[in-house]
Amino acid sequence: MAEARLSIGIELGDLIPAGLPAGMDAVEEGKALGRTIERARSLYLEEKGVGSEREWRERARIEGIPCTCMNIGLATWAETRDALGAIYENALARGVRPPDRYNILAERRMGLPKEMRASAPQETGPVLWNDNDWWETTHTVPIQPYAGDNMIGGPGSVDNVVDALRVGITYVGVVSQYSWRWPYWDDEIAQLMVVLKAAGVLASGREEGLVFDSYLEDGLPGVFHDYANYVGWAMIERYVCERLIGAAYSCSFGGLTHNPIIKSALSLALDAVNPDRVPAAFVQGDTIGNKADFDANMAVVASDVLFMKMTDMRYRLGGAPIAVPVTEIERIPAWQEISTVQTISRKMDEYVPLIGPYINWSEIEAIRDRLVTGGRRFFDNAIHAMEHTGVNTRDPGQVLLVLKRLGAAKLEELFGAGAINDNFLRGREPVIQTDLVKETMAFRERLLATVADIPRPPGVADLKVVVASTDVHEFAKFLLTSVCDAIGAHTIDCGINRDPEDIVRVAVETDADVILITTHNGVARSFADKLVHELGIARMADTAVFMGGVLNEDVAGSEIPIDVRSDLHKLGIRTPTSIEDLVGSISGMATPAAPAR
Amino acid sequence: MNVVALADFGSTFTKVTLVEAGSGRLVATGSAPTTVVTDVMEGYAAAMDDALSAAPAAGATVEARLACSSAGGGLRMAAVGLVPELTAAAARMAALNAGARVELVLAGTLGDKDCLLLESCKPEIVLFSGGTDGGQADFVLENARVLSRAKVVGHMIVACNAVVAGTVAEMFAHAGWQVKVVANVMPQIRALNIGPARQAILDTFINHVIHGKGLSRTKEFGESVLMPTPEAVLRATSLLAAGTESEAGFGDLVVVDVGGATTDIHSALVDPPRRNWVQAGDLPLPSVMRSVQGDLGMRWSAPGVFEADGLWLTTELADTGWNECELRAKCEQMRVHPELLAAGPNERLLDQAIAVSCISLGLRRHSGTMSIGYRRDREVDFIQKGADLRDVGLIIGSGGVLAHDPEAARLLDRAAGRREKGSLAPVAPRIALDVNYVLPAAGLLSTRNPLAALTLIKTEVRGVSNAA
Repeated sequence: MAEARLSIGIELGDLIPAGLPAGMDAVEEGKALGRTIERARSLYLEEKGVGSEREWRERARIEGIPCTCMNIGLATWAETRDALGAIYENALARGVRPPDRYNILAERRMGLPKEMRASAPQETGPVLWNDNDWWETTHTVPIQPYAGDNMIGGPGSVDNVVDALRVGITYVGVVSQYSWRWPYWDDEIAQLMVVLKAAGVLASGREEGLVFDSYLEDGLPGVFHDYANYVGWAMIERYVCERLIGAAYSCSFGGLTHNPIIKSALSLALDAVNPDRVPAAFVQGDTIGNKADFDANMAVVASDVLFMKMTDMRYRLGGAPIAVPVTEIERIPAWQEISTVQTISRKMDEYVPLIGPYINWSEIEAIRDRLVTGGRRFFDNAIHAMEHTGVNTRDPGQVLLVLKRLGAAKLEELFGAGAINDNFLRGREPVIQTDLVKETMAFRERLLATVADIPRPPGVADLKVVVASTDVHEFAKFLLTSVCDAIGAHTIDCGINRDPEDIVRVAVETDADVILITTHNGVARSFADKLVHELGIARMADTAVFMGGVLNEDVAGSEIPIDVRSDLHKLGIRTPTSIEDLVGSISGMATPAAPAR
Repeated sequence: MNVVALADFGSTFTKVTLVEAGSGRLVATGSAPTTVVTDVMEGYAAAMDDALSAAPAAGATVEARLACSSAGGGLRMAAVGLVPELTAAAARMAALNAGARVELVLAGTLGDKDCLLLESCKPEIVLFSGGTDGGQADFVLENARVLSRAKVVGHMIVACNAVVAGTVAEMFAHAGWQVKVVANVMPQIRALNIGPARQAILDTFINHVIHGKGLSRTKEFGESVLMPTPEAVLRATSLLAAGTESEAGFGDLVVVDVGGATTDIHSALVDPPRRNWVQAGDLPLPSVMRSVQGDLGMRWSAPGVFEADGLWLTTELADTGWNECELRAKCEQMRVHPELLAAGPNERLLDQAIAVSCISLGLRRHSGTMSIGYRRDREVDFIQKGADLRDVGLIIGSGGVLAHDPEAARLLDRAAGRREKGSLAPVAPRIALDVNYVLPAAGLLSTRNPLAALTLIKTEVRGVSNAA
């Protein structure tokens, strides 16, 4: 039995606000609405002679026809539409099959209800302003669109799903984006109910091939430390979408997975927990392997795409890999850059049968099995804990809200697949550590190497440095304690999510010379005010305080938090601009004879 | 038959328990009023006679005499620390766990008014703490300097920042205190080390305090008293939870003792829950813990119970016809005349309701709380304050009303069922009763024969054996 089953010690039902509407009521409303929608057929579906993209993808995998996908979202829909046409024509001119599908990287305003979009600030990406824009998504070229980014998840979910279905889009997402917050929208519960209603719309057409897709990394799994928990999270989303809501669920992922072997195993694990084998909308290409050298990024694309395709073909997953343009790390790719990697992707199809048979798939399958076992544990732990701590696990609203409010770190700490082990940041040893964590650990090593080169006086060892985070960001605090240890200071780890009073208590008992605060939750100024006040009361006003992270504050009347560094400086708080700056400042406080205080 | 005589010098009664030396089997019990005014050994002799007369006719040879004492006010202590939630709390915990009555806690940077408080308290022992090892020194030295000016002396146990402990000790010694230096109660943040301070308190109690109370002129009294009574109960609690090398214990448990003036709660966690996802504060809690609720008791503290739980008591006792004012007056009467027993069914109901209040509030205060910190767009935080006793499987009612009321088990069950949202008190414990009040005796016996002590508890505490 998993340990979380014994007792998580927390009443999760306390996270549900009084008066939360029944989630299934919203779903039923959506189903009723869905039955009234007249759906057109896209050029792509007409060309393939199918009623839905799912139908084609399932046929394609049986027949061994590889599909590809691309991301596209230029400044306006008109530019995006023209780029689509150019990519299509370019493929034909080169003699390769055009992409099968594209993800509309819509602007964030698309997540708002229609009537709010025009007055919200413009950001990056196209907005579909009217029926004609929507119509063109499916009737410009025979490449099937996916209504994903900012379509379902926000308060505009129902508007978007209705428009998408009308023009012949049959995969709509993104389930995991329900955890996002949209600008100018503060009603979390109303947003959730709109998402459930949109999901109900898709459920009404499950038999006709409508699919509710998720992209894991857009949601809480994007900051998970364990890939097994990715699998578990996908199982939870599937449980909510398929079992509770009645919609077909597909699970896309991939952007934060750099290692092709792990990525292949993860694809297989997600397929293993997908009993209806609904094809994933896409498999995203690696977005963390690319660096500033575009030529070197070609190697990332080639190895990433090759393994995605080999895995897809061997196991007939019916996926659609995305080849990431090598320039994407620095700019929104031009259509030519998308065409280039799409051509590479199609060319790779020739190498799949040459290389695939010689891969040691049994080792990849072994990793898959570990991921599946771990994923099931995460799922069982979460559902069981909710069932026994006041959450109605038959209500999709309650389940989604509680999981969202718990957040990624707590989900992994509470329900994680790995064994409990205090040596890891989230208290469990990951079954398969995510590449995000590996990258961070590598960053830490580079940081420590930098620190090692900075000269410092021997008196640093006498400095007592209290390190704390105002929020749950354990990485930032971890990096700071690592640096302080590395320079030889006496580091006192005060923990995460600490209040100013907590920090001052520890500073008093330890007679701290330095307090080092990392903050990312928009409270920098008020936190600093309180901290300085409490230090004064405790007669510790001469303690040096450093703050770093995101030094801003949520203020009334401003949609975005404002920078408060100048306010912090007025309070006597230092805000180092780099780790070298921080180490230099701390070292400067030390003398060989005695601490500065 | 060789027996061990185990005595508890209480404030009103002296109780003697005779157990077979090797097995721990209960032979007989006896009691007599405690004779504080003359010599407590007179009461002891009477209690011993009472016990021996109840022993089997074959007679019993007393092989050893062990005793604990809460006579003469028990062990009165003051705890001193720097931050109330850290070193001051650690010092208080150490004193409570040594069986003391903690009558004063001083924290922060101290001043003249704190000296006055210490002078009026006149504790038998002061436990002085402050600063982690290598940490705060200035404020600790300042506190020592201030307190050494107080016009009171006694026994001072120094358990502060090790770097300045010697200097602190010199200051107090210079002022006339009997000083002992031990390891810091909180050597670093999130580390509690109360064992050495606790042992020093017990040593000081046995070697000095108990003799200084003038309870007896006899040498025998001083030689037999090993510890304060609450310490004996805590040892028994710990033994029953953990067992011995050869015999398993019963796991996590709580002992409740409702007296006339206080409600004492002892708890022992063999395998405390590990919940990394919970923020539990900077001061870890010991696995064995004692708390004393000075405002909850059946007689002297009855007004305190009404103050804390009046609404529930009024509702609970609606059938008696007494309104809120009348109930308040009844409680006050109990304080003024603690010797009075319940007269009639309504007063018996009142006694029982007060007992339920004392137990349920005592359990709540002894246990911690769990709250959820949630703000939109911030990840949630689970904040635990105090001990998590929800998984505790056994509650033992000991002494006083829980020994004498035939419905004691129901009262305990009722009290345990009065849960409050967010409380970490036991959720579904089984109930056992120490009707013969053997836990202090078992705690004493455990110093020479733990297995026999465990046997004594298992055979004499009603319901324990069924709870396995």
